[in-house]
Order: sequence, then structure tokens, then C-alpha cells
Amino acid sequence: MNVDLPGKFELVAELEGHDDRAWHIAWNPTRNLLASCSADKTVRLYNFSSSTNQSDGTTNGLTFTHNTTIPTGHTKTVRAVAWSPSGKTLATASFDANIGIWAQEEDNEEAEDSPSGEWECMSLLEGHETECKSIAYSSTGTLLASCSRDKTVWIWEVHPDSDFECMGVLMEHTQDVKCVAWHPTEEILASASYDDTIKLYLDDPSDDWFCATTLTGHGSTVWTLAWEPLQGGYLASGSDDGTIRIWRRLPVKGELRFDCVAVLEGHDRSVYSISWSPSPPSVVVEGEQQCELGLLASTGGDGIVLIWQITETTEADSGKTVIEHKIVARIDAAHGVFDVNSIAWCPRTGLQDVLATTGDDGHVKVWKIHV
Amino acid sequence: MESFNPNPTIFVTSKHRATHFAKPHSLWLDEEGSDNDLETEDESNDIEEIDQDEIFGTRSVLHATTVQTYSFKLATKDLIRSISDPEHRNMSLEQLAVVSAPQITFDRKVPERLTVEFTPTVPHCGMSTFIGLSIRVRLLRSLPQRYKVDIRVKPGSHQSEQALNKQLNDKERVAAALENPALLEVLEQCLSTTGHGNSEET
Amino acid sequence: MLVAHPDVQTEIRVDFSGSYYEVASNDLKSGAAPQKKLQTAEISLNDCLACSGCITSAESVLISMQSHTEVLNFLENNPEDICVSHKVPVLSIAPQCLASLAASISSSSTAAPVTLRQVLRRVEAFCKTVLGFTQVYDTTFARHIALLEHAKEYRERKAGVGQLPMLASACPGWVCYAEKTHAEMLPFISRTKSPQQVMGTLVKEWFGARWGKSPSQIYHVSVMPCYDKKLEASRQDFFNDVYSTRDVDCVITTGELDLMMRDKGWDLSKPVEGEDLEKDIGDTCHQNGDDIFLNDALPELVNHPGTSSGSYLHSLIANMVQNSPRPVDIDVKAMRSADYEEYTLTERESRTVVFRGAKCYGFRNLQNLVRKVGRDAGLQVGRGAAGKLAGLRGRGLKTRKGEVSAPEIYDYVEVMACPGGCINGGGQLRPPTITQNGGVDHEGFERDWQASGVQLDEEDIGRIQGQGAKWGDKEWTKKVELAYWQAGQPHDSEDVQLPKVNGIKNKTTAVDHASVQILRDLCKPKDLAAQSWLDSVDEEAETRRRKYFRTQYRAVESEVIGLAVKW
Repeated sequence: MNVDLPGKFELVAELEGHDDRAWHIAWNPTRNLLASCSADKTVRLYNFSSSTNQSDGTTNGLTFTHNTTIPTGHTKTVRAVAWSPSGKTLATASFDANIGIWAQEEDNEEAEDSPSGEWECMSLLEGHETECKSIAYSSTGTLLASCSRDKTVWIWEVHPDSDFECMGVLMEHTQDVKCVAWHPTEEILASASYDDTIKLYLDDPSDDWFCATTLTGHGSTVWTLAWEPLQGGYLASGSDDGTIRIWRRLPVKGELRFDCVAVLEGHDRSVYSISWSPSPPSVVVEGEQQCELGLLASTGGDGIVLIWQITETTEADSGKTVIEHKIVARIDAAHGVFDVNSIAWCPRTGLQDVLATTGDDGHVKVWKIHV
Repeated sequence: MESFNPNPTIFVTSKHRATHFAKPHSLWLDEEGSDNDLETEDESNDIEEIDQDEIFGTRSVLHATTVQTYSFKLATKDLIRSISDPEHRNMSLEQLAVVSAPQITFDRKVPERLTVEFTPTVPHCGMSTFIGLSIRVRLLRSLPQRYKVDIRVKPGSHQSEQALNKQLNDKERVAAALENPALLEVLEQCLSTTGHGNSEET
Repeated sequence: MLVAHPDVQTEIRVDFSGSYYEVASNDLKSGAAPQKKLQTAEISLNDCLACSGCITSAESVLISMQSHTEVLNFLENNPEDICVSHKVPVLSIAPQCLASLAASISSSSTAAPVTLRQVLRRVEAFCKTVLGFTQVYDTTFARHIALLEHAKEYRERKAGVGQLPMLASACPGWVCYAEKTHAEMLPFISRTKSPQQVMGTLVKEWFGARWGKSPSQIYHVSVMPCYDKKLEASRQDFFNDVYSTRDVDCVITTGELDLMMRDKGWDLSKPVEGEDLEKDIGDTCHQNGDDIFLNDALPELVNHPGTSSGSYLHSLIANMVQNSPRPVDIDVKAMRSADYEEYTLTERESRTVVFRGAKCYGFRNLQNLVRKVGRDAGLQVGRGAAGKLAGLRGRGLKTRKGEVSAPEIYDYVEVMACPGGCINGGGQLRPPTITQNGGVDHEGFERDWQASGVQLDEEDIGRIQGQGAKWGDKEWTKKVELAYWQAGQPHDSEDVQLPKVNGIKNKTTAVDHASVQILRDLCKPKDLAAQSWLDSVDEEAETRRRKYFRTQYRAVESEVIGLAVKW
């Protein structure tokens, strides 16, 4: 099957170390640092360095080294990790219902961008009644969202000195909330739930946060969300129904509306995680504007990793926009017989073709995608 | 135990295999010492042969026509048959006809995927989620890791069928449940009988 | 699991499947228990409180056992008053409920909006003539007593007996939440009974004594804007062991009262005779020990300027301003919204801050309050799960650079779980919805809002249709708030926010006097000269005061029965 596809997976690194299922992974946005979390209640941090090919400027090799293991102190599984946009703060979401906020001690007057101290818990956010499942910083880093089996989504405002103020407790879902994801540029929050829906929230400046719209269509639990990372004109969602849906934000003034424009079928078990990489600039072909929306990586309970190319085509005369998708690369049994729980494109310049995955085997794998 | 055995013929054939399979092969919990690890290793290979047969075979595994599948099915059943009923601890799920061999089915294409169906004793049984969870955990701990198991309530046998199926097959919910000490304690009690049943039979 | 429910002489058995069975107590003892399977409570958590998972199954039973059908059943089966087993049916209604009803019947065609007094008279007429209640009261006089006791408690705490900040306890949703998830907040919560429970004491103990009735010979129904008041009424602390009766036998919501009136064909928009007449004992009372409570009347619709949730903060402030030896200034700072405001009292001359208070409504603000109070008090916030991390947190937290001043610790906070406070309680009438499906309201009842006289101008309709319920709720809450302040008091925002000290003094003298009379009657102080509620009394009387006007809280352990764990 793989031979028909143009894209190839190259395994760059396999990082062992977690004693139990690895749930989630997050690349630091400003430093060469990768964080993974696990049912073993720890967060593992890895440094990496890349060597650049002198002739064509491409990245040659990636070397990963274990940086540190944060024992966290969470009493249960650490389900998710998220970096603040500054890359200085790490948030952990745990089944113990709490959120930990971690930063590195700045012992000496060291260089600002490479602190080397211990990771300390700067703050603990309590409020969820049951397992916290997902956590995310807004694009500016001023807001933090979390969700839980208690059906709520919480929005916290990040204050200086690791202080947090609760800005909203959104009780819109009727079931377990699996994932939260902020729009890449605006203060729009999306949440995905066991109730099969996706909800989008806005801040009413004179009032509280509120649910602006609900997206229905998935036939089962919605596990994962990913915004198109440059414009945020699209939202992708992965579900227990085995599909990925792509929703387009409609240009309706003063209103938040989305239409489902594509259903991607390729997985035959739950889609647990998706990640959307930025796209190259758009091109005009024969009166049509073709806009590459980048590559969407997906994985799940079938152990398969799929790379989808998403293309938006706008007909010049009608202005009609069509979304096309095709699988450009695939790898089966990415973590052997195990489920793959999380997938993430590396955001670092020059490494945007690098992906990391985590699985029930407790391993973190790093892949280079040759498309 | 034996006196409740409803089908001695089948059990005679399945017994051998069952005993081997039933050794804990823990996914998450190191419940027994390391001496079991060697044994489980062997068993994995043992099953491997069976399944390779099946993967390339043309006959429907659902009908369990080959000896190997049939015995694997019984072995699977054996793993769960002796789980105690949470309300009547001295009764096993098999005795209450909650589980049975025909309710274990394999994916026609991917034999590592199996579906275990169970029948709640009453349609409003509040213990069904718990029973389903105990089956799920037993198989998680015993089957080789490559098996992906779906657990379902027998269609039409429970008023909250859909909700039950959804919850039992949500691995995140299951994982979190197993971190609840109170729940885990009862679970271990119900699973503690699974080892005994097999050793008696040997 | 057994839940005692003495009012109906049955107990509720919860089986492992989570089903509830009603078992007659005697049968239970004998072992032969004919069980009646109960319907699952049909109250969503959003009706109760803005938090999930707070209500346990046993509690939802307690809630469902108190309903308007329960009231109707009781009235139907209440033996005639010549019988010994007859119970005197008494109903008390909260002013927020009256406001909700008033807003729902305020018609655009009527120039003058319906006043709370008119609504009270109409409800009274309905309850007495149609349902057969003997007495109907509003709960504002009970609230007045609660506010007095509350001020006394604050003084005690300020003097070092008990901790500060003192947090209001009138909201049962907040109390319930704190008991379950923030036990560390319990020492801060005011131990003064809520107006509902003070009313319970007045009806069962004080009126009971007047009428020669034992507490169990009175059936006391209260109408509340909140479902959680049902939980409050069923607390063990408000159960009279001697007479096996509760201070409030049954709590129904505004919505349930409205439902009863519609079921019985009572049109609340129609005036009743003498509906504008004051039943006030106010100005006519004397201070010479005469019986001032003529015809079993209590002071009516006592106005407490401040908030529509009971003015706990404002009455404290008023008290302090009144008693301050030096002039003070009040500063109000809105924290992002009207649901979170800080009030600071500063001595004009010395600029010394003498009081820091806040009004904090809604689940979200409540979270920040809990964090702040916990932090200020150096407490570990939250439940066990956090315990181990908290140690790490302590290590990680750094002293803020250059910050030496002590945190601005509150002295008092008026806490309410609902955004907008009690006026927006879960038991209140829903805002009118203009829907395509023949005017079915949120509760599924058919309702032609325009025909039933709900005031909706063109703009309203357009906005309700255009936006979701979110806006509607907020606008509706505003209307109810307006109706609440129609009680004859100005409701300009400045007036609402800052208590009119002089006004309070005159208005409340009579009511205060009546309150002291109650104190004398119930607590029987040796020194009958006590002129103020705040005066100290002898020890025995003090014990009685605590029994009648204070209560207590306890941390509730979460479910530890494995089979009952919801996962």
C-alpha cells in the first residue's frame, strides 16, 4: 500500500523511557525541546539538535538527547502537555483533575533563552471535578483553556507571576470533553466531546465567554482538533467514527459559522490525534486559485499514521471554493501493535517536515516525512 | 466449579489451552512475579501460530470452523468466564450466562481484533458498566498486546446499550477508571477468582 | 444507602443500579418491604447550580421529593382542623420569586407595573382561597432577622471569635459546593441561618408557640428562586428530632408555584381586592411590650437596599457606616463585571481602610474568590488529589519582587453561586421565548407570552429571536431585577449600590423593634431591656440564640464505594 504513495516516512528517533502508555506530546515553539507525558505521571523532556546540509540547506540529521524527567507530583496519569507561545512555561493536564504550571528556575543571570534550572511547579489550577483531558494556550499566551470529563471547559487568564484568574466555566457539552484548541490568531476556542459535537466559544467583552456555535456531524466521540495553522480558516476534527472532518469558517460578519467541507476516510478505528502543518504560498493555475493548506497528519487506534495533503481551489469566475484531500504518505503499525495516541508536527524553522508520535508502548517516535 | 460447567465436552478440549492462556500477561500491572513472563512469552508464540493460520486462511473465523480458532475462542472465554459477578461474588459471569463462547467473535479480515459480547442479566442492570469493565481489564491483562478488543452488550439486552458500548470502548475512560482506587479495589476482587478457576481445572 | 425522609414516614433505598425505592419505614424494620420504585429525578444540574457533579443521587432524591405535587398531595390529605393530626399549612415566599412573577405579568398595556405587594396579595389569595393555606408570608422579615444576626456574627469575628473573611451563607448552592470540594472554606462561611431557615424557625417555633401548635402540627412550605433551597431545607441541622419535623417541610420554586396557579386556572395578572393595602405593623407599633404582631401578621416586604440577593454586604456596610466614630468613604470597584465588585470603606481623615468587602456572584467568580481567600489565608485549596502537588507549588512559588505590602484581605464577601445572584436563580421563571413551535417555553410548557401579558417591545422580540437564550436570560434578569426594586424604593444604580444610611435608620426602626420582640420571645433573655438585636444577652439566652439563628457546616467526603463510582 505504501509503495503507491509519493511520501515516505523516515524514522529519525525512537525515544524510550516512559514506564507506561505515553499519551501526549508537545514541541516547544521557541527552543529545541520536546515534551511527552504518560500514565507513569511523568513528563519527559528531550533536547534535539539538527545538522544542516551545506550544499542544499536541508536538514540532515536530528539527534535527540534526554534532557530531564519531571516527576510532576500529579497523583494520576498526565494526560496532556502544552507549551506557552513563549516556550517558557509548560502546562500539564492530569487525570487527578488538576493542571500544573511549570517553569524553569532561573538560578543565575543566565541567558534568557536557555535557562537550565530545574522545572518547578509554579502554580496549580484546581476546579475540574474529574479527569482533565486537554489543555491549550491561546496564540498570545494570555489565555489557557482546559477541559474535563466533568463536561466543562475552563478558561483562565494568565497573569504575571504564575497567577491565574478564571475567566469562564463553560458548561455546554453534555458529556466528557476530550480536547480544546485555540484559533491560531484570534481568541476563538474550540472543544471536542464524547457527546459527538464540537463547540466554539467567543468572549463577550461586556460579559462572559459563551458558546457561539456547535458543529455536529461526527457519528461518535470527537477526540481531537486542529486548526489550519496560518489563517485559521479551517478546523479539522478526528473522531471515534474513524473519520476526520474539515470545517470551513464562513465569512459571515459578526457571526461564527462553520460548514463541513470534507470528510476524510482512511482510518478504521478511532482517530485519536491530528496535527496540521503550515502551508507553502498559494499558486494560480488556469483561472483557478490553488491554495495549499498544508499537510494534515492523523493517527489513532489502528496504529496507522496518515499524511493528507489539503488543497483549497477557488474558481476564478464563480468564486466557489472546493477542498480537496489526498493521502500522500502512510505508515502502518507506527508503534508496532500499539495504538498511537498523539501526533504533532515540529514547529521549528527548517524542521517542519518532522513529526513526533506517542503510543501505548510508552515510546516517542520522531519521523521525517519525505513528500 | 466443575458442577456448574454447562458443557463438559467443549471444556475438555479447551482446558489445556485455557490453562496456558490464563496466566496473567499484564499490560499495566505487574501483578505476579517475573517467573511468569517466560511462560507468557511462550504462550504468545503459541497463539501466533494459530493466528497466522487464520490470517491467511479462507474460512470464516466467525464460524470457528478451525480447531485453532475455536480453542482460542474458548481460551478467551476462559479468561473471562470465572470473573465474579459484582453483586453475587460467589457466582461467575459464566454461571449467570453473562458471557459465553459464541459471544466471542473475530474480525474476518483482522483476526487480532475481536469482539466480546456479554448479556446483562436484566435490561436495567446497573452493574453492566462494571461487568464490561471487568471483562475489558481481564483481557487487557491477559491477551497479548496486539489484540484489539471491542466489548459490547448483546444487542437488545440492555436499556442503555449504546451508552454502555461507548463507555466500555473509550480507552481513556477505562484508563482513568483504573486509576480510581475504590473502583479498582472492587475490580480486583471480582478478578481474583479468575486465577483460581483455572488452577482447579488443571 | 439509606436516605431518611421523615416527612412521608418512608425511607428511600438506593439500590446498586442507582434506582430509588420508597420503602415504608415500618416495613423496612420488619424486613418485608414493599418497594415502590421512584422516578429518577428530572432536574438537570443547570437548574440547581452552575456546577456539575455537585448533586449526588441521594440529594436529587431529596430535591425531587419536594415538589408542587407533594404540596398538593399534602393539602388533599390534610385532615380537617378539628382533628389532632391536622397540620396548619403555612406558605412563605421569597421576594425574588415575587419579582419573577411580577415581571412575567407586567403588561405593556398597563401603565403601572405590577408591584411586589400586588403579586404577594394575589399569591396569598390563591394560596388561601384555592389551595387552603392558613397563612401566607413573604420572607423579608425573616431576612431582616438574618441580616441582624449576620451583623452580630461579623462583629464577633472581627473581634477575633472566628475567622475572616466572613463569607455569606445564604446561597445553598455555594454551601453545598464548599462542603464537597472546598472544605478549607468552611470556617469562613457565616454560620447565620439563611432567611428561609430563619423563617422556618419563626413559623415552627415562634408562631407554633403563639398558636399552641407543636412544630409537627404545622406544614411549612417555602417558595424560593432556587432548587438548592430544597437541599438546604433537608439538612440534618434543620430537622427537629423531638417532633420529627423540619423547619421547612417542603420547598417549591417560583416555576412550580406558577405551574400550580396555571393548573388551577388562577390568573395572576388579575387584581384581587385590597391588593394595595399594607399589612405592615410598621409605624403603629409601640414599644411597651404590647403584642405588636396583630392578626398574626409579620412586617411585610421589608426593603433592604443593596443587592437583590439579600443585601448582606450592604447591610453590613450600612451598619458600619452608621456606627463609625469617624466619617468614612465608600469606594466601589467593579472587577470586570457587576457580578464581582469590591467595596472599600476608608476613614476620610486618616485614609485608613477599615473594611474590605466584595460581592461575588457566579460560579466563575466563585473560583477566583476561593483561590484568593485560600491564598490570602495561606491555605491549601482543594481536595486531596492536589495534595502532593501543593508541596511542590510551595517550593516553586517565589516571593514577588519588590512586593512587601500584605495582600488586600477581604473582611466580608457576599457569595452567590448564580450569575446575577438570586434574582436569576435556577427556580425562577424562564425568560419568555418567542419560538416557532407555538410558544413552548424552556420547560416545555405551552405559553403564549404576549397573551399572558409579558411585556416585550419590538426590540426585545427582535433581539430574542436574533440571539440565543444567552442574551434573553440576561435581559430577562434585568427585568426581574427592576421588578424587584419596584417595592417602592428608588432603584437608580447609585442608590442600589450605596445604602442610604438615613433612610435605613427610619425605615428599619419598627422592623428592628419587631425583631427584638422575636429575640425576646424565643431566646428569653433574663434582661428584658435589650433594645437592639446586637446587644449581648445572658449565656442561656445566647445558647438559644445560637440554636435558633445559627447553623453549622461539615465537609462531605466524596463517594468511596467502588461499585458506585461513576467513570
